[in-house]
Amino acid sequence: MQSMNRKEPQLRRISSIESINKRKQEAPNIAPLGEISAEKIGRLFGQKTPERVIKTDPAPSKIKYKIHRMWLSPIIKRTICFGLPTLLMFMFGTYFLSNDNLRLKFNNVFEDAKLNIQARPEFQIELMKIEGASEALAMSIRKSLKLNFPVSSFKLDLLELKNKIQDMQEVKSASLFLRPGGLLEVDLIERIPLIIWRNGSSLEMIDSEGEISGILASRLDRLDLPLFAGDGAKEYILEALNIYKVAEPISERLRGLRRMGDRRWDMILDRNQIIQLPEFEPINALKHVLVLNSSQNILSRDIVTIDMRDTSRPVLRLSDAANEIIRTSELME
Amino acid sequence: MNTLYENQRTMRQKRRAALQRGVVAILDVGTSKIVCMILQFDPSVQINASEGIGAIANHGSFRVIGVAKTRSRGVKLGEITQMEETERAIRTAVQGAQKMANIRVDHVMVCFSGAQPKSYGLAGDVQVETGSVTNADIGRVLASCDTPNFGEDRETIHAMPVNFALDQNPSLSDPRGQIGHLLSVDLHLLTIDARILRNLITCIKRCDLELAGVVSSAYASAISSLVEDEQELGAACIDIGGGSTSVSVFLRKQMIFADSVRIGGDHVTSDLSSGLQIPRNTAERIKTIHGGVIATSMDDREMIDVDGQTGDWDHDRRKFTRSEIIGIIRPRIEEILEEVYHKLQAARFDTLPSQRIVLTGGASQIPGMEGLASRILGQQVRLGRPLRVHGLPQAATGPDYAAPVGLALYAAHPQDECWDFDLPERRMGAMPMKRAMQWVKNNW
Repeated sequence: MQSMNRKEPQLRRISSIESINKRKQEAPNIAPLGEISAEKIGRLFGQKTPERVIKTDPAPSKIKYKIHRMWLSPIIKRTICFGLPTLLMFMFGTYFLSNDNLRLKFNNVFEDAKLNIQARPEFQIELMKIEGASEALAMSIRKSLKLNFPVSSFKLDLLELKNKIQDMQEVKSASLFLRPGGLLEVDLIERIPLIIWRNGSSLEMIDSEGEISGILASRLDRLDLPLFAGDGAKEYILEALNIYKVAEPISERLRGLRRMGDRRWDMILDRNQIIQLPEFEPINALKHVLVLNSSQNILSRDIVTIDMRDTSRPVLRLSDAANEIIRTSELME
Repeated sequence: MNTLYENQRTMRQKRRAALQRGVVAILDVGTSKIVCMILQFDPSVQINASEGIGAIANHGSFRVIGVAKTRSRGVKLGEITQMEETERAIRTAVQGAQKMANIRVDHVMVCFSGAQPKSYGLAGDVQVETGSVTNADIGRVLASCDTPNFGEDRETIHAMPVNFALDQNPSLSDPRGQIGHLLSVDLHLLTIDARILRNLITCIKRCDLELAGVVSSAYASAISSLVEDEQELGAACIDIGGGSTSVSVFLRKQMIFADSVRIGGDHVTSDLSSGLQIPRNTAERIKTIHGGVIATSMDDREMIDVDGQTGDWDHDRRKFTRSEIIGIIRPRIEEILEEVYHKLQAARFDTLPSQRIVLTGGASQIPGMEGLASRILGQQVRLGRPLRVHGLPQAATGPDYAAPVGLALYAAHPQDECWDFDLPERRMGAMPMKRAMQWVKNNW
């Protein structure tokens, strides 16, 4: 081989002191040779150190090889991956179930944790807001639900509460919501009473659907509602309301309508005056009375009953006092 | 030959058991690398295979699910020289392949190129007993071949019936069921050095693997790189490996000759290493990157750096032209090819109807190899690559994988050999007792 000793031409010989000085400039933190690694020496002095090749044996050791093979065999793999965990779980489960003390302890811990979470402020309900109800109704709802705030929302059975509210006569429907910020919102639709019906000794308020929407203690509580009484009055409410409407001019004096013998209406005014209306066309008869009243002030006189049952011939009955006066005046004459 | 016959029969049984399980490993113990391939056999294709052989020697029936290659250690000239090292290398390869396949293999088929294979052509004839040829007749005719005295320490690795003749019909591949009187057979016997085979078997046993077959790599690489008509009309497959070069000659789809030349690519590397005074690793790298066998004037100008790590600046900064490197490689390659030529001459390759030569193996990838080989061996030279098989990674499809791929094909569809037929028991009587004792001794 002719090319074995091919040399690169060297331009200038650098003296050793010169070169050391130069290298000191290049590497100011130069250290004594004993303290620096061979690699660094090589770098500093421009030499190439033989690369240290860490020779690792790629071959697996005999044990490793056997374990790997065992791991790959399906029975052992299945045993380790499936059988062993199952066995452990079974063992633990059996131990747990057979040990009363442990189970009790576990249950306690679980219950405590549950209660702790339920008692957190995030789940506390502090207020109940009732919307769409009169103040009296709201009060009675609050009273009947008997909720002690604050209460955890986990302890509220909203369905039960809703049923309880809807069972009240005054309530048509109710919906309950839990709002963020600890608010229990109750949206109500109240039954609006239309009339009062005297049923025996009780005064029942009835709404447009014919449902009882409450019981009054005294008629004076709701003077604005018309009062009906008598057997079968409930079935003829519409007729009675029409009569009420016609009786507008004497509404000041009107006390109510009474169904007589489930056949016809009596209109009762104050001073116990009674207008007996006929079975058929009671409105015309009433209008007749009103005309009489406006022309002759018939109602302000001392008359107990105006009998309009025979529409062609109204019959008046005077009070005892009037009869007495008439009788004495006739005697005087 | 009887114990060997039994050995081979048990290996066949193990191969059948492996196929039943569906997984078998292929191990190619070479001088420069050890390859392990794990094959998974598809049972549905196996069913078809029982009816008849599938297309292209049944090679659709399996799939390669794991391949691992490792640098071979302790192997020289295709023979194990350091058992421990080789065992480690085999473990590395097998574990790598198992890891890739995620499956455990127990059965392994091995091929190797060393151990000085020698071919014998035997002939035997026998009278057909029942009028038509049966399996028993074939067994008898195979047993009637007079075995040459090839020495105590040699064992038969292949004993293939190459050709049958029945009365006047000189070439039958399968005479079973045919009617005739005189059945004769040509048997190709391949023997190798038994001690080397025993070393290999010990290595495999130490890796907890069971041997399901041993194949000469000359045969294996020919199966994968010769195409069907080449096998039919006559061709030679030359597998230039690391430590040895194996030669096999095929005619009528049967191997009729196999031999090996104990020179290979590693010798080229050591030539370069000593010639240029560089380490073997560097020499190997230069050989694979810049190697060649035909120099042109362009190569005089192509300078190649040799990185040394001796610390001597002059020594480490040398440069060589590519033609210098070719000048070292070429004589060695020529030597290999000339040796191969002599082997082929000895096998009377020139009398075959077609004289196709297929070069394969790692060293056949040197540029210009084809041209050089055609000058020495004959005009019909081509470079062979192994057949495509399912699931083989791209990296493992080069000519250096010819032997393992061929072995995989062989595992799927082995050639019928002597031990596939029931040979008539020559000495009845005391034998069964003796064999039972032997079995107890071997196994306890």
